[in-house]
Amino acid sequence: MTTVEANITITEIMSPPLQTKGASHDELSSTHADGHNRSQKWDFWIDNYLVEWGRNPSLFDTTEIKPPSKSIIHLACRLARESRDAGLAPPLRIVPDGEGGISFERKSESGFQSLNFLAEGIVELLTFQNSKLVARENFSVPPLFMD
Amino acid sequence: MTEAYDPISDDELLYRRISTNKQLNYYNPDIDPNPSPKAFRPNHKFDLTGLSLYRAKYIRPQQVAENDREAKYFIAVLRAGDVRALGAIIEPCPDENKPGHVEITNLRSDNRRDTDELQFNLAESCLEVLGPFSMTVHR
Repeated sequence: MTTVEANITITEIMSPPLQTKGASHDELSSTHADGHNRSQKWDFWIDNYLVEWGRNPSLFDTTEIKPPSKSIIHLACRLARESRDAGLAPPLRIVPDGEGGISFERKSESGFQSLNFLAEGIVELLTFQNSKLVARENFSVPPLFMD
Repeated sequence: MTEAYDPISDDELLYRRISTNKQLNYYNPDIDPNPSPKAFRPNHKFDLTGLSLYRAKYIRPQQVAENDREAKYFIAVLRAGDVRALGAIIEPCPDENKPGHVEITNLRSDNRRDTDELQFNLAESCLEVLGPFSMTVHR
């Protein structure tokens, strides 16, 4: 398993390294209808989850978990909007990690990825293939997005 | 040997309780037949000695879902042999309130950030997910 420290843009994080049946990124986002569906799905996650978590932390049972922090929600929203606007595929689901962080999870025939926004401000991308964690990449977060 | 400590055979089924809170997104059969790996992530406050599961031999899914907060739960079903094949160590951990309680002792709050692979594989190894169940008990 490789562990990499990378200086990379947020949009590059969300570019799909997991290809579906060998289709290129262009093929995946080739039609206007596909692009509209993707945009709608991103908006679904942004409006019904990320924004709501910021507005209403009581949605969670705080006796068991720590809700995502506002700074992490802000960062995740920014990435989600940039990814939507870039026409990238939305995640399978967006999940709080229970400790103030958020994960974007994606699954395809070639594997599974989890983009984790950790509460301490680190962003990491975990890649699983054939039931193995094959890569853990860490990305620096600009101080602007920290509390 | 009491039932609490009798050996767990590979063919036994084990139950894992999963919150139905839609904001957590731990399980949604409309988008994925498997739960999120987050459903198998040790809680940083509570899972100090291991991740909780229950032996189907001694407890019904409805009983696993029992709680005093009116919360509902799905119940993921796993096979003990499959769990062990992933490298998990399963040990009996008697609970006077719920029979059949066991823990994965190498999946704890202190190593939760080093066990992503095991958490992922546990989610993928679920045989099925039952429920939701709602069993409120006022103690």
